Amino acid sequence: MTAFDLFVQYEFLQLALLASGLMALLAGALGVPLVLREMSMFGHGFAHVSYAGVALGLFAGFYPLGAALVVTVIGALAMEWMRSEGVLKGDTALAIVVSVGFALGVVIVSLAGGFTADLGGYLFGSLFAVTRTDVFLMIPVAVGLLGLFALLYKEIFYVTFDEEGARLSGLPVGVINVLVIVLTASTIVLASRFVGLLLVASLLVIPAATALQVARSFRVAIVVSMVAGFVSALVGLFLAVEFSLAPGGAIVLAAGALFVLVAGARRWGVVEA
Amino acid sequence: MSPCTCDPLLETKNLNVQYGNAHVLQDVTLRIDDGEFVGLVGPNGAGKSTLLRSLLGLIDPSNGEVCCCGRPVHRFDDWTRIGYVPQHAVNVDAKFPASALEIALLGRVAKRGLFRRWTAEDKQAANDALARVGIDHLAERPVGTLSGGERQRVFLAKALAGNPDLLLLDEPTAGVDMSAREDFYNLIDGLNHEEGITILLVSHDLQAVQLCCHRLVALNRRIVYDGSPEAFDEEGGISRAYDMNVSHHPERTGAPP
Repeated sequence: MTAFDLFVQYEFLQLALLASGLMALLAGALGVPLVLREMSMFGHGFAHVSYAGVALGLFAGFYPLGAALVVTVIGALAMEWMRSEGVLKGDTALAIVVSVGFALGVVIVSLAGGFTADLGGYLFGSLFAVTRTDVFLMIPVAVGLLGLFALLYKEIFYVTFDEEGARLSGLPVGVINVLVIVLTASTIVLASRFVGLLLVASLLVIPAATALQVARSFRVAIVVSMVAGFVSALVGLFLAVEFSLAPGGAIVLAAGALFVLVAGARRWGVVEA
Repeated sequence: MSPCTCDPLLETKNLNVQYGNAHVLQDVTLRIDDGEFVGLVGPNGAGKSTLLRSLLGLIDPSNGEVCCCGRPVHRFDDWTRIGYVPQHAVNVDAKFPASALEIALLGRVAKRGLFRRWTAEDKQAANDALARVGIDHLAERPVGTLSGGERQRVFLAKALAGNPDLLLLDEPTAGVDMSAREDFYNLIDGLNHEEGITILLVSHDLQAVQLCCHRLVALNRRIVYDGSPEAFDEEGGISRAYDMNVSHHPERTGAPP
């Protein structure tokens, strides 16, 4: 049976495809401002913090993805606060929060005597460990977050391009920064279910980097990045099902291949940038 | 301290700005009325940019008061009335993906308000602003691929897109070549004459400021001259502004060392 037949036959695979496609669209959109503001590593940081949340959830018997969402958003807000207050330079704050978050996760896991099978699914992503609850949480949340991004589009553009100018025009820049951080942290946690905590940040960075190779306007950059993310998720999941690969690895490799293709096409003058 | 009087577009009263022990601005009292075209000159470090940033409420004065449209600047919220072109605006990251039209649209953000999408009216206003500065044919071009002079116009269009009453231009021609510079001065001269926009132009390009402004203010931490551009030289404005009291010795012809 081919991957295509499996997707046609199993409703769950279709839902998983829909959920991961939506997550990829969201990550693609958010990735562009993140990369342009040289905050690429933030996604990686959030993913590590979410490990503490997942461990806490598994340990205390909460819904792990929910616990991860709460813990990661709190950690992300702490990072944003340190960044905006100038308590620490951007990447030092990041390094501290990331390590403390991850260490917290490690300690909780050791307290619990380890729950390796479940944790593996979160660390590396899995199609088959994903529950119906996960998918039914992801789909509405992803749609809601995409809606929020669309509502904040012009503000996000302004803050990305010129933070001081945005402040001068009367925009509440602090609030917008916090909203973007919360959006990003939520996206990381939800997308990590498929892609895995260790790889999820690349879903933010690689499609955006692909788009920036060719985009001639901000709007086009966002759209191309969303499409690149979506195509990577689709191709990756099909390959994962067809050849029994880890879905996270397959999706990220697909995104990487797409980047090489586009960057190469640009370099050899096939597309103009 | 007396409160701001009503109505001048911009007003400062006994403005003092101090960083540590360094007095950057001392006792600056300045009033700019509707329709004026004021050039602000002064040497490097005279406090020109500090004054401009104080006018925009970006710097809190140590003492004194700043008013926009008759309101203290920290309570002023009608930023659509003021268009600001910052120094080094032309030095945008060449890789940033933004078209000229998108930059001009940013000038409409304050007018449109939070959470609202740009409307057809905003797009029209942004296109009109690009046309007013003569670069509507470059609307779709990424701003990073434009020349210095063209970029300058994009940022002027951004400032104009909100239909402001007042334009604040901070060293707008830095990094712009000579011929583009002349065109730029003609352009803002037209905005003042034909459209009645009040302009405060900060520049160290004294000649250009003298040629096109109606009023010249020279700053060297304090205001050392405020009057007609023509009388500036006669009244020794240069030496006061630039701290230069160099005596002239025509008899000492230069000999090679």
